[in-house]
Amino acid sequence: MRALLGIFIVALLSCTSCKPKDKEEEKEFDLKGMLANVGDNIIVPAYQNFKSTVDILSVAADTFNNNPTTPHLLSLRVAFKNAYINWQKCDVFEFGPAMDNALRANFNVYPTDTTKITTNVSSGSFNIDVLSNSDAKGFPAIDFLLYGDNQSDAYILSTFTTHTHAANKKQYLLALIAGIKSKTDATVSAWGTYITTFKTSLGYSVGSSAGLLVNAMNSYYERYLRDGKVGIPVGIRSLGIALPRQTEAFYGKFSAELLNASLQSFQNLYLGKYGSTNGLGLDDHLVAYDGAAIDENLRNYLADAVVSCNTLSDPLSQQIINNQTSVEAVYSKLQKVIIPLKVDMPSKLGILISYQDNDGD
Amino acid sequence: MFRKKGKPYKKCSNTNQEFPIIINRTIKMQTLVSKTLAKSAILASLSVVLMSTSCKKDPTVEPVVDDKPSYSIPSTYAFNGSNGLTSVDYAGQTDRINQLVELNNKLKTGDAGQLLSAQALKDMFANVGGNGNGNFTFTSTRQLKDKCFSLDASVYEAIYDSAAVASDSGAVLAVAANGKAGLATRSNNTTVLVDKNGFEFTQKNQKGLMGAVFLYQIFNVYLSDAKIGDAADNTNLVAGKNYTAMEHYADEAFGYFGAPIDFKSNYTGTGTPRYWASYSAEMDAVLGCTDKIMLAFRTLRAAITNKDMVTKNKQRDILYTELEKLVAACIIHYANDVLVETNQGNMLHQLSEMFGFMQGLKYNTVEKRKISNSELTVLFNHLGTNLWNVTSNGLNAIKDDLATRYGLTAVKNTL
Repeated sequence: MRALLGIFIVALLSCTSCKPKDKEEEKEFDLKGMLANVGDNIIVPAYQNFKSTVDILSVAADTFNNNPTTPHLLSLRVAFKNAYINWQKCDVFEFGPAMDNALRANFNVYPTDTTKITTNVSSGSFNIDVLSNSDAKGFPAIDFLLYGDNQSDAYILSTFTTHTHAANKKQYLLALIAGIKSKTDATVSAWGTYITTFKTSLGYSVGSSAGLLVNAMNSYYERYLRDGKVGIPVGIRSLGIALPRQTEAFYGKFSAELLNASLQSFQNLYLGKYGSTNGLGLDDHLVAYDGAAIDENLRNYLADAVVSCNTLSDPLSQQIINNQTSVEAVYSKLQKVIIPLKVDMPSKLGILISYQDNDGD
Repeated sequence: MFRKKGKPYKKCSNTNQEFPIIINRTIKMQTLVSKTLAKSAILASLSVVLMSTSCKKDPTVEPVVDDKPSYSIPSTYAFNGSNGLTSVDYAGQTDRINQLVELNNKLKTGDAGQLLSAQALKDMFANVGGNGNGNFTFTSTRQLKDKCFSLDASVYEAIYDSAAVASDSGAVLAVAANGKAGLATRSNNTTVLVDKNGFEFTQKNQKGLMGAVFLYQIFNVYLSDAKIGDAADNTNLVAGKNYTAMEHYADEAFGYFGAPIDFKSNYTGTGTPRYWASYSAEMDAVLGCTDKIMLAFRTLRAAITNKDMVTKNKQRDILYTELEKLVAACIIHYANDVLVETNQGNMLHQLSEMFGFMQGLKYNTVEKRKISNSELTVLFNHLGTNLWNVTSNGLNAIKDDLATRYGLTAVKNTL
């Protein structure tokens, strides 16, 4: 009787940790190997590639600043687009160093506030680090500065050369790019040591690497990939009324290209795939944990979504206007991934989805 | 280990008023003995001695092997008096929790662009006429205002004044901006009314009063020496009641925690954890706070009922520590939310919650708290007075300070 009471109390106190332990005893999976693969072969290279494109962007911006010509504007746009595409491969990892540096809020809040940007440029006095400027900086703000709203290259160039606030605008552009560069450098540098933490935080509890990764993947996929890139512009959150100006890279008109880069790298992350090598990923984990059916759904739905997204054409804003139904169909394909991703997989692996979707209070 | 669940000592027929003190002495003595002498045989014989002196009629009583309570701790917050009826009563706290719910709901109508009346909000705060001057759905003799930390009551009335002024802007759907009160849109397309510095009134009010009333009362009133110190009355039943004054004060502290009596980690019961209990549930997966706090409240009450002052004081210290740590964890949690957020309306919302929780850190007693007023001022300076100007550096500075101070470094990024 007394012993029973003791066991009851011990069980009560430790019940948060016993579920994953049971799983580990029953089933075999090389979680350490999966984390090493994802960390060493996917995450760290993604940040390093991104950093090199940001470095190139930074140099191109300096060149343009010193010599603002049409060719330099065009090469700056190429560098910008390349960095923006590579950011798509990092965006999902908003934990650890990325959270410390609030990368997403600094890099990719859109639609950007063009009025605020114009005010900041004309005043020449701004602090890009404050919350109020989160929608006036990062890639979306640079997108507006470099492309303008359906304006000719010659006109855009003139805003950097002969317009009243041309000098301020160059200064603003440089400040935004410097902001991206410093936070990117800080993140890449922090991953130099965080990679060890990532590879050794085993288990499935809140705060374990598997827990962080699966939560980050869900939060990203649901809110930023599905909703941000497709759902909101096509009108899913606005009673079917399309909001084409809320597409990503609205001014540069390469929204679909960003979406495809994002979804492709998301799929690779799930599969543990890098280059042509298919390493240990969540797919293998599901299979090892008696979740082959879930894995099959996830693989198929993700593959369907990739195919579907490839049918989109840029400018996506124009396709939304011309053929809203076709984009809604893509949204449906993206939506199908949610149940296996957010419900089935976490439950099979014993991972708690702990992020808030902010639909509550 | 705990004594076998069964008759507590006080049910023994030879119980008298002095008896509980004897229990305390024996517990201390045993601890001493167990440290200095070889264990089992001696303890066994000791327990025989104890039983023979204290509880002759209950031969099944187990020996006490350390300073753990020698009576059972119920698995829920349910305690009966000697007449077999419940001796737990915190109706006043439940009333005030209900009042905060309705007061905040009233304030929330401003989030949807309705005009707010400062007077109505103040009437609710002071519960004018027993029903908030007609604004509450229920009547009560209790009020939030007279239980609010006295120096801060005016702070909340000022919030109602500025909320009413801002609601003029909300009513014409003015969009909030830096320096401009109005409605901020969140990612779910709902709006929240914020002041010109981005503070959301409902969060500032709700999280603020969770500290200024609930925590302030728990820390400075109900857990205080004046109420449950060793010299407080734990002998006489309160006139017409089933509890001693000390038992009742412990219940009132528990009442302000907002927990169902069967609340625990991974709670699936039918009750609704409210305010602090609901945040305890939210932090529990990382902090592991809920079972700790609930066990401390239950043990505190059982110790008082069983006149075990040593255990009572120990539990009191646990509550001081764990509840303050919960506040710190909530602050870090919201800082993390903001760091990964991209919607400005959401950010203002989360920062306003964070600000309200930061207020909560000032309500622990001067002797018990782990952060001084001046140290807390440093944290408020990192946040600044205008939420539109918050930076990630400021948030990280707050996180790092609290994580170090409250031993949360290992979990600061996962709260």
